Amino acid sequence: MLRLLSKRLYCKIATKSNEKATKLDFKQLTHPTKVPQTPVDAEFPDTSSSEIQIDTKTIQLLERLSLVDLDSERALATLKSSIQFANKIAHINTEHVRPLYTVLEQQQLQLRNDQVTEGDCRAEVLRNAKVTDEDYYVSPPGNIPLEQ
Amino acid sequence: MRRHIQWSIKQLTASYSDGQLSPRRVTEEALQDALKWKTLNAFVRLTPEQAAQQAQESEERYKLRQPNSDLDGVTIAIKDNFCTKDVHTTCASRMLEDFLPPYDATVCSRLKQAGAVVLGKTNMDQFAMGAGTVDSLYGPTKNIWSEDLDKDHWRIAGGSSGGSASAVAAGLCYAAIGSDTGGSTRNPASYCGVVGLKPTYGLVSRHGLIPLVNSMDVPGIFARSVSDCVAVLNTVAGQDQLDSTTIRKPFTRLNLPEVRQIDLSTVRIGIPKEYHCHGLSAEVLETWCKVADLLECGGASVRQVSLPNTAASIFVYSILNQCEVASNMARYDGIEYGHRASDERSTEQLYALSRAEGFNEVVKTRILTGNFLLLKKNYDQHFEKALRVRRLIAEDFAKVFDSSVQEDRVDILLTPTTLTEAPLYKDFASLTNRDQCAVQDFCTQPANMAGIPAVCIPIRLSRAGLPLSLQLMSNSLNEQLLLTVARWIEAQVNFDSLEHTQEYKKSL
Repeated sequence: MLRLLSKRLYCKIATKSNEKATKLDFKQLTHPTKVPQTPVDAEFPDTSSSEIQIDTKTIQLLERLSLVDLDSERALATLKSSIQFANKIAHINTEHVRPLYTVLEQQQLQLRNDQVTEGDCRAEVLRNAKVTDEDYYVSPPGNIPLEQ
Repeated sequence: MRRHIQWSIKQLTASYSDGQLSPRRVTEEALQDALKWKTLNAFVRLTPEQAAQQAQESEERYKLRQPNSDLDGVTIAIKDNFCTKDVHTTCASRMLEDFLPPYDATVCSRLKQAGAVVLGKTNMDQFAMGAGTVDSLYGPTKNIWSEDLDKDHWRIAGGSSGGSASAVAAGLCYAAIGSDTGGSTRNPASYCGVVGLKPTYGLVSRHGLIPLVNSMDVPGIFARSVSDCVAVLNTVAGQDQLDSTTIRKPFTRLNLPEVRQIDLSTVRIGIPKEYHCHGLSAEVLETWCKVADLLECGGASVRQVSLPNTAASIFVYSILNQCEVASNMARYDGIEYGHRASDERSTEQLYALSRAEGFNEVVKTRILTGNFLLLKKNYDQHFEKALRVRRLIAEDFAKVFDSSVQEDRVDILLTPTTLTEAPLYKDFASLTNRDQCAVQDFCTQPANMAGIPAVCIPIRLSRAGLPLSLQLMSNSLNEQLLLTVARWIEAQVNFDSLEHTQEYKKSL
């Protein structure tokens, strides 16, 4: 038993040292490296000092458009800092540069024939609604402005 | 540890063919392992019944010697933002907690058609908005390479597809599907030490992938080797009638040469200097230098190139992401599907409360900011401006890949993926969501701006024993060369994605 164990141990050590022999030395380079050794700086204006003013009217508009509440001071601060973050590209010269809406702009969008290809799935679709009445979705009264 | 976990997909399916292993046994064991590794929180939902059924059918096909494909009987996991017929698809959000899709995403239907066994749905940041898988309704996903999984000393898996990366890294499945909008596949692949592929935009259908940023989203692939990754790509890629943004050019299946047949002498590698940004760790830098050197020793020409608009990319990404999120999230109102609040005073009131309850703070802030940037007075100076800078970023790539001057052209770009090894949860969680994404996605999101393919491959372990990875990028639809070079590097560095497991360590 002991002999078996020691034999096994020997095998393990042997394979381990083999592995080590082929292990790459990450400090050792053959060619002068093409990788820059110090960070390449990119200059972006500091926009955090410019105060972002959002008036109550705009906040109410955003809440109406988004249908989520901007209730806390923290949420407002995050919104402001996100806008400052977005302002960082304002200085980049984009004259005569067209917006890139899709990377597939060279490809014509394919339209399919206006034919029904699937259906008969009313039950499967309606099962995801929390409230239904017969085959209808149910919603509370409309045309009432959001309470703000 | 189960020995077959170390096998490639090819070896696994060969063992099915000769009867050595059976899809049913492998599936049962995988489901057991998934439960055993519950602490990782890789899965938000296992689908044992469906998996057993698929494994049974696969087994019958092998008995008849008629497997459907190279993936028949192979266990896979799918991120929880891909619709799966009759299996809950939640985006790890309260909003979609009860959502039961009536159809399969194209990626899922193609995998099922190929005979793959779907084990379940994996964890993610809510609606894929994050870089850590820390903002999930189901709690964070842990990195299996962590020094300690129990106390607060564990590492994040990365995100947003952290569950898929974690599942593959732990050997719970052979491959997994994620999504990649700004790095959500490559970032967790980097931290978890597995291969993560972001294919060319439009190569793989987005039908049934719940959208984040439509113009950048792509399904991503996780595997433990480049060739396994190719097997999955060959199954899911190609035009789809149900997604008009898929590329119409017919997809040719990739067929990678054997490692010893790979000739690098015609391959030109570019090192984009701007990818050495602030915060890049010394170990990642050292790894980057070494692999560039290996490629040069292997006969490739390696030179420095410049992509001058790189640093603008995180700002552009942030703007476009928030704008598209504001628009995409408008569909969640609690009426047809999704969380419905109990406020019945008015339609608007119901919408507002359902959304307030169904979305987390990250989602809400992105919607509000997006709508601010899209206001009539801001639209041109923010949204359109970002789209113009996006073109500059895409043109940077075009200049190095398609330059009219032959000598200026490169085929492949070699860069870091993430700036560091996987951070500790407690350190990562102390940052804001925007900083989490902006810092760690620096090297990954430019590829999404341009729609080009990119792959993250693990290279070695850091001093702390965590995976360090690098990224390769190439021109659109150049996956064949991209993955050939990845495979060559993989063979040189000999990284073992499963070296972490406790059992494995004991068996040494």
